[in-house]
Amino acid sequence: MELTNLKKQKITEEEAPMNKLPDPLLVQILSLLPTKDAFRTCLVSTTWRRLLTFIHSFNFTCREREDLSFIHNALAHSLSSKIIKFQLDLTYLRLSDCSFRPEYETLIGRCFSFAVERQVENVVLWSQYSNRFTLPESLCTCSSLITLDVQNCDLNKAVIAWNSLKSIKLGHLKLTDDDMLDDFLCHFLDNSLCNSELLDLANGDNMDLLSGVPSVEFHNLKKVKIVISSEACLKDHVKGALKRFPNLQNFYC
Amino acid sequence: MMSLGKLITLKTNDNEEFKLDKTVAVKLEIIKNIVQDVDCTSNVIPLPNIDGKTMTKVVKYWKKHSEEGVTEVQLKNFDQDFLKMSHSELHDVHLAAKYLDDNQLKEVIIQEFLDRIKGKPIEEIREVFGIVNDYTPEEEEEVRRENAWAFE
Repeated sequence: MELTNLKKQKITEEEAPMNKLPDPLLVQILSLLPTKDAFRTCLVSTTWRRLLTFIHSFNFTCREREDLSFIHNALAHSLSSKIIKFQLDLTYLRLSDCSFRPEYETLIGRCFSFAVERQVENVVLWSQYSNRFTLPESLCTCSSLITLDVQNCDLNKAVIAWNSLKSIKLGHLKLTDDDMLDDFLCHFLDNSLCNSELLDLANGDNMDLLSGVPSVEFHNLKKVKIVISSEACLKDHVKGALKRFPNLQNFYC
Repeated sequence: MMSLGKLITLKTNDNEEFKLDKTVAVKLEIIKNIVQDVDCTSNVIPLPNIDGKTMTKVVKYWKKHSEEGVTEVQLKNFDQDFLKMSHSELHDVHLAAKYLDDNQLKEVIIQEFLDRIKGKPIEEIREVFGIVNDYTPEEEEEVRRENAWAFE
């Protein structure tokens, strides 16, 4: 029903003089706005309200004590069959109260099962140091994923299958001990299904553990960027370990 | 292949001709491909999808952005001025940039559209985009209620 209406609308707009933007362009523009700003324009006209159900990218920033139902609402009304980008920014939350947590766990789960179902290509999930999350399992096997940018997110032992991944940023990744390093390598770096060309480990904890990396098969890796703030002297160890990547062209440390 | 430093002529669908230095023109994939295909005696490249008025703007943008020694501040000021056009003109330039596969120009235009929407009152968006409010007051109230979260 919605689709037919949209098609009709398109035809009339093409016939109309050039004073109206075509629907696909409007959808593209609205998709680039923070989702809340985009939905604010639903009052412009009935057409715009319909167009909003077709936006292909979502960008949510959660503030403290904000009602999260707006995110659930926006997703529930979406008719888009393909998600280009899904961004969820939780860095503004200061969750001292642990009772908030399940609510956000649910939110993250809902957001990314929605995105993965619609073959999301780019994911940004930023959390805050005191509220680390585990990367949702649905994302670990998301084969449509091209770029992944996560902050303060832990990798669990789930199987990882990122066939299309080109760039991965793991900000504030925490490697606490050798065990964790093993997990990191076994389930992530040393996985032939991860074809990423960029590995960006900014502000990670204990990245020097990586110096023990024997020979990681990270076939397509071209760029590695590691930012270590305090332990400057350890950079060389890390560098040495990562030198063995076959296609590495750039290394920032 | 035409030799370096020569001029290339781009001809729009209303027969306006634009002479461009080849070094400027071949920055664009589409022009590069056409230049490679077209035999060396013909220096005129037809642009069947673009009119002269729009192409004037595009060429102005290209020339400024390929100027030697141009500073970032100058480019920023130029862009600001350049983007002062009606939304239908912006749309025409966007279509041209799309046809010419100029990603930079495409992005600049989209960003301008975004700036014209972001944080603006509904009434102003309607005005800028020439949209007539087709909600009945009752419908408008209902939609406002349904999306109350967006107006918090």
